[in-house]
Amino acid sequence: MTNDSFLTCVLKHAKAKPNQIIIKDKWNSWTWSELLKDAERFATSIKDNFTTDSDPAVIPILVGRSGKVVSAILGCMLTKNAFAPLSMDQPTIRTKICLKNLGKNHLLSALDEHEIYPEDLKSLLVFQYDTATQMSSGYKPNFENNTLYVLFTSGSTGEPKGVSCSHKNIMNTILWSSNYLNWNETDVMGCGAQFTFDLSMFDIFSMMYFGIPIMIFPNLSNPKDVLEHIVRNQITSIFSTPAFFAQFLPPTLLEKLSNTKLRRIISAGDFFPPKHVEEWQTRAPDIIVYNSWGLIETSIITTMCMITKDILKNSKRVKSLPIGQESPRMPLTIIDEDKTITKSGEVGELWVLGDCVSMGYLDSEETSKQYTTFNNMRAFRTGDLGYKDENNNFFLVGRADSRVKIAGYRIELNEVENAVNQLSEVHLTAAFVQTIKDEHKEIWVGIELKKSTLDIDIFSAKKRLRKTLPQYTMPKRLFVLPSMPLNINGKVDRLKVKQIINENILKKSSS
Amino acid sequence: MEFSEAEKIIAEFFIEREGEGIVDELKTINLTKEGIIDSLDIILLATYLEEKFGKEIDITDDNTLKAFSNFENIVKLVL
Repeated sequence: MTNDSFLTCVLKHAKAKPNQIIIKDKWNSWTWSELLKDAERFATSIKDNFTTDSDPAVIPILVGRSGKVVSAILGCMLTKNAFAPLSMDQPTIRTKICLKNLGKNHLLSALDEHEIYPEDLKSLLVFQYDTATQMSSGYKPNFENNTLYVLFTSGSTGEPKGVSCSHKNIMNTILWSSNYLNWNETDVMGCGAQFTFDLSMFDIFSMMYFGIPIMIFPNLSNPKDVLEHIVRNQITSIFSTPAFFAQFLPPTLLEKLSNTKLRRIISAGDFFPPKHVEEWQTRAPDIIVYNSWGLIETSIITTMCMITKDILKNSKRVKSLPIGQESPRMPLTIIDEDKTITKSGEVGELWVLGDCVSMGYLDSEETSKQYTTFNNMRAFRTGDLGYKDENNNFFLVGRADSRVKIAGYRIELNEVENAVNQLSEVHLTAAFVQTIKDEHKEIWVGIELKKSTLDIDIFSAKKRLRKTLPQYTMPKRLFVLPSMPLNINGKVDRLKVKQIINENILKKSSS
Repeated sequence: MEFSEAEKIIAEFFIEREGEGIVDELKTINLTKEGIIDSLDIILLATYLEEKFGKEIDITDDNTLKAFSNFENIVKLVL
């Protein structure tokens, strides 16, 4: 394992295996040499159309589900620029805010010709050139401390917040991941996340570094379609959210998956319910489940844990899965409210330290709120609450901002969700706080039932919940939703759940 | 289970929160002991009863508070 730059690695792969297919989407495929040629066309277009007054400039790229996004990213790297993927599916107004934050007036299109260009953005789009001019200065890798990409996160306010990650940040993550994921020549990665979500960056940079082919799922919310791609493309590994993997729990799908080449799934971005892992282990025992944790600000993932049967057994006792352990490349600590390191078993905020801590937000004021130093290392206060057990395994219990206070009690909404998720009829859950009258607050939960369950007896469900939850954490109301709304990154959208319940279900029942 | 008009209105409060499944047990269950209503719910229920029946409910009175553990006693509060 060397510290070669991503660009150097791509050039080495292209030289060694020019005709190997490395990217495949719904419409096209690219060999290493085709990928590089395509990247040069993008690079020429970037040079002509984007003023690069800052070094490096951040090139906004409009992305959908086309593999062109990888050549566009490489085009940015060839011109020693950074990139910022912006989704074609997000509201145009949000794209324009992101462009403003980046100080750019137009964006590079990495859409396939079959994808529909957002009408309001057509005039701002810059396209890949048909021909490429030779890079006059040759390929020079970027400095490791330069920005590699900017990803926009919604933040708690819903305002897009740009996070800058450097080459060094992401290289650290990719090198660290090789301790857990033993890639081999037969591996093929199924890209199960949007390109604006950092999980897909893990796929792309693992591909560049290790030479693992990527197959892009065209439709992330159709499990049968995903299954077909897994079979056809002999996919071995998928890195995505618990909600993505939950699609395979209905009868027969997991059994069908167990007859494919899929050998592991890596979950990140949300809590993976132990009940779901149990289904995977029982019905598809040869597929290894990894639970991982990290944030955009800490360069994709920071911890990873292979969930064995023993670990799962213990998880039932503690009601959550471990996220992994600290490692030299990913220093991690838990800090209490007095800024001291917690003892084993004590809950505090997870702070990530060292090279994985990203460069910061585009807004420096925001950066100063969450980025700091600890023990002479750069540190990021994640806002995630957790503890370390006696065996140095880290566990999450919730978000600092999902800890609510009702009638004087501090309640973790995640604990409520975990308990509701244990009900046999329930597939997915989202808990939230509802204000009733005069600031009277209650916990309400939206649930999606398992496909095999036609209905749920709320009274019976609450009776069972009362046996596992303390009275003060009991959700006052349970609402069945036809399907759980997911955000653009495939995570359960709790704000949307609250909105649907208030605007659709409650209004409908009162009218 | 048969309900009078007043009972139906009161039952509605519980059905909204506990689902239709509570109807069969509503008249026999100890509502506070079973955890169906807590002190905060009592405030909400009292407000609900005041709105629906136009009768003031004094939740500072111990006897009134005790009445909230039993459906039929709640009915008596408003009749």
